[in-house]
Parts: sequence; structure tokens; C-alpha cells
Amino acid sequence: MLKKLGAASLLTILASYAAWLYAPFPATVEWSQKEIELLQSLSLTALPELAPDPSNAVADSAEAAQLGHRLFFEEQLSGDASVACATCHQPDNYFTDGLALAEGTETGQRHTPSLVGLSYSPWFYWDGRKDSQWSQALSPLEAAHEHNIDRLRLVRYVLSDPKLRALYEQVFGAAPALEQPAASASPLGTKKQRDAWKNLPPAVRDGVNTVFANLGKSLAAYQRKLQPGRSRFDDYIDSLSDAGAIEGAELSAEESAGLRLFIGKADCVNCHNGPLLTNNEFHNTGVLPVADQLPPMGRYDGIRLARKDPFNCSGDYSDATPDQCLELRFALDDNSLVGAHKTPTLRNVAKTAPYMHGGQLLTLRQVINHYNEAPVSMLSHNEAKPLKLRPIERRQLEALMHTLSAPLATDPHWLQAP
Amino acid sequence: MLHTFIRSLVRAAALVILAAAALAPLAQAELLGSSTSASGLELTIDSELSTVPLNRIHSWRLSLTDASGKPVTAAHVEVRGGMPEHDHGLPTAPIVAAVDEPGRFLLQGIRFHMPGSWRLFFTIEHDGLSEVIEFELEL
Repeated sequence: MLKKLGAASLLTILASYAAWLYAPFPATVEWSQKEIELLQSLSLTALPELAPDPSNAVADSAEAAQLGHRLFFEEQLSGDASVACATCHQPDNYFTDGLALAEGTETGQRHTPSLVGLSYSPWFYWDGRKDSQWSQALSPLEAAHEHNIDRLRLVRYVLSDPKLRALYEQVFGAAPALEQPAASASPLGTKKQRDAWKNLPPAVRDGVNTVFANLGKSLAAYQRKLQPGRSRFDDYIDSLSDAGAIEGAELSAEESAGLRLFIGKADCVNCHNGPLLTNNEFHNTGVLPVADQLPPMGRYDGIRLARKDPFNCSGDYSDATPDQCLELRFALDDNSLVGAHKTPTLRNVAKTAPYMHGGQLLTLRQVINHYNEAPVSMLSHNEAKPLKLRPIERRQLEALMHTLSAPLATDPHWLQAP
Repeated sequence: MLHTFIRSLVRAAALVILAAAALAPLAQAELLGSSTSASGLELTIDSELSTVPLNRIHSWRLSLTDASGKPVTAAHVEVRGGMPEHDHGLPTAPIVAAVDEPGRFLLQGIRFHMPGSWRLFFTIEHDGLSEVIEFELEL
């Protein structure tokens, strides 16, 4: 008799434990007015018009976007004519490449971020070392492991191509004359290229820099077209308002439970907020360094690099007046930024694996488990705290992430080579 | 005589226009509230935007008065702050500078990157004294 009782209690305990781990609780989700307001701030309906970029006078020029479109897909803009921007930022993959680390002319040190909705960000690169999209676009061209083409050769190529030159002059006026014996020259790059750069007359260096910056501005004008489309997530949230339900805008019980966790217990919304589900800020979340790499300093170094960048908002090649460079002027610069990397958008996140600045985490499940554990950071401190999510809750969050996928709100002709 | 009268009329009109221009940005502003220090210094804050937004850099106008309600001039104001719940500071380094009007200051470069409770600390140096005024904000 006692034995039977003991076995029954053990079974009950086991069943209760299993239920705690795996049973969906609460089964249905009801939202308070305050929660609905928070949710509405996450819908694409709340996304404002893209503000002008004062540092880029052609940011919203149709001709500049056309030039940028051509440049984006042009493999000739690389040292061995094999790498275009679109090599890593692939339109069919939400402008990512599906790889842990980018593969340009060599394997890089960082994971390729999506470009979708990125034009809303005040900072670029995982460590925020660029303060405009046009200035960001310049660096991969000269980076040895990406396009690996030097500045003079790049500018020469564009100005010697009749179609590109015509488009360039349509947007920026007459291009400077560059009759110079040197074939290759750059203030970066090999010693030979740096020496050649020093030997160019100052006016020629300035001319090359001006064209170089203008190519970046055109690439930015193109990238401003790459915006996220409405997903089931947006339709569901919009259907919660009294303004009128959207037909068929339902989330499954699992997905809506995930949404409750997203804005509640799982703390996701702390950083993944606003309609693009990113605050575009920098956080240390204790992600392990990439194998064979030292733990990176992140934004701590990024802001220093941005400040001394000749192509920043207050530099000679920017179209902004210094008082328009608010982000650069008031940027934080302290030890709290050690190891901090930029929050990425969660738009289309289920389609853009792997994750984190070095592609260290391969699946959404791994990412959710990472935040659930909030491991100690190797450098400085992890801002996140352990979430204590049950297995069922982690599944619910993962289910929610799949509701964020949608075709881009971009005219299809921008999504293929011109 | 008439000439002088017209000149003063023009001057008065110019002053009215200038005053209107100075007040115009405040038309859209939102009063965020006020807070008082131990000695009775009162800080009133208006945001240049009608609601304090997430993830957008903007400015605030500050007004500082003493216990008797008079504007405090020649004060040096600094701001720091953050989210006590998350143990982090502000995502930017805002700067406070006096403007031409007595007791008025402009705070530039403020941005908030998380919803929740924010706490700001204004250090006021005035008459050789240093005081802190705390200000709470729910986003």
C-alpha cells in the first residue's frame, strides 16, 4: 500500500515538473492598455519617414541611388574583380550572407549584418566606428580582406567607365581631372600605396577623396531604399487597436505567448525596441569572442575611430554643418562601452542566421539560450541578467521570431543587379 | 520728432518679432515637470519635442529658480543619469549650457534607448555651493 502511494506521489511530482517545464501557461494572452501602447511602438506602422542625412546632400536623390545601385553590384570595384557589396550583402538573404564571418577577398573578422532598415541608424559597424551610411560604405572598398582596391584605382575605374562617369557627373557635376602617373595610391593600404599617396599633389588627393566620398554617398542613397516590409507581427499588433481589426491577423497561442515574454519576463524589448526592433545602441551581452580572436573592445574603440575619421560628419567631405553632427558631438565615451556591440534589428531574424558580431551563435535557439544564461563576459561586464525562462517559454520566444519575416518594402528592381 | 517715433515703433515691432521667434520652439514643447533641491532650488524641464521619444537625440530647455522664485543666474549645471533597474547610464553625454535669458539653460544631446524608469541627476554649482537635483522620467 505504502509502496503504491510512494510511486503515485513520485509520478505526480514528475508530471508536475514536466508540466512546469513544458505546459504553456498562461494559455491565452490578454493585453492591458499599457502593453498595447508598448506593442504599437513596435509595429512598422509607427516607423517614421526616413529623416534626411545632413551629412549627405544626395541621400534622397534618385540619380544618386541609381549610381549607388550600379556600384553596389559591381565586382570591378575590387582588387581582383571578384567582390561586390552584393557578394556579402545578398538581396535574396535580406542583404546578409548566411556565413558566420564575411568572405570577401579573404575571410573577415565580423559577421555580415543585414542592411534592411539600417539607414535609420545613427551609427554603423558592430562597434559603431562610422557615423553615417556613406562613410561606412567607403571602408570595405579599401579593406584588404573585403574589396581590397585602393582609393586611386577605384576612383579611376569609376571615372573611366562611360556609364558610371555619366551618372556621376549627372549627380555631382564635372569630375576632377586625375592625370597622374601612379596607378595605385591610398592613405591606407600597402607601403607602396601610402608612399604614392603622399607623392600626389594635395589638390589631386583632395579630388580623389571627394569622388571617393561621393561614391559612398551614392551607395548610401541606394541603401536607403532597402526597408523592411510588414509582417504578421505588425498585422497582429495593428489589429489590437480599436481602429479596426485586420482580417486574419492572428498569432498562434505559442507566438502570442512569445510576444508577452518579449515585452515582459525576457526583457528583449529593453534593447530590441521601436519599429525596427533595435535601439541602435551598444551593449555588452557576454558573447564569447570569435575563435582565434582576442575579446574585442567594441564601441569603446569604435567611438574613438569615429572621432578621428576624416570622413565623419564634421569632416571636410561631409555636407553637414558641425552643429548638425549631434550624435558625434554628444557621443558617450567611457569604460561602460568596453566589449559593447550594436543591437541588430530583429526584422527577418529567422532568415538571417547565424547571429552576433562574429556569427558565434548558429541558431535562434542558441541565441535565446545565451540570453537565458547571461554568461559572465570575458571583458568588462555582461549587461544582461539570467532570465530563468522555462523550455516552453524559450520555444514561444523562438516561435515569435518567425512572425517577423516578410518580403522587403522595396521596389524589386533595386533587389537585382541593374 | 516723427522720425524718432517711427524708429521706436520699428524697434518695438522688431522686439515683438524676436520674442515671438524665441518662444516659437516652445509652442511644441512638452513640460516634463519640475524638481526641487534640499535648499529650495527648483528646476523645470521642457522637452523640445512634444513627447520624449525613444532612440532620438534631442534638446531640453531648463529653467532654474531659487527658493524665492527668482531666476538663478551664473550657475554651472551638469547632468548624468541612467536606469537604476538595469545598472547603466545614459547612452549619450549631454551638455548643459546657459542661454541669454536669466535662469534659462539648454540641455543638448539627450537620448533614451530603453523604455522604463530613468533617473537624472543635475549638479548645480551656484554661489560656491554644489547641489544635486534628482529628476525621474518614465518612458
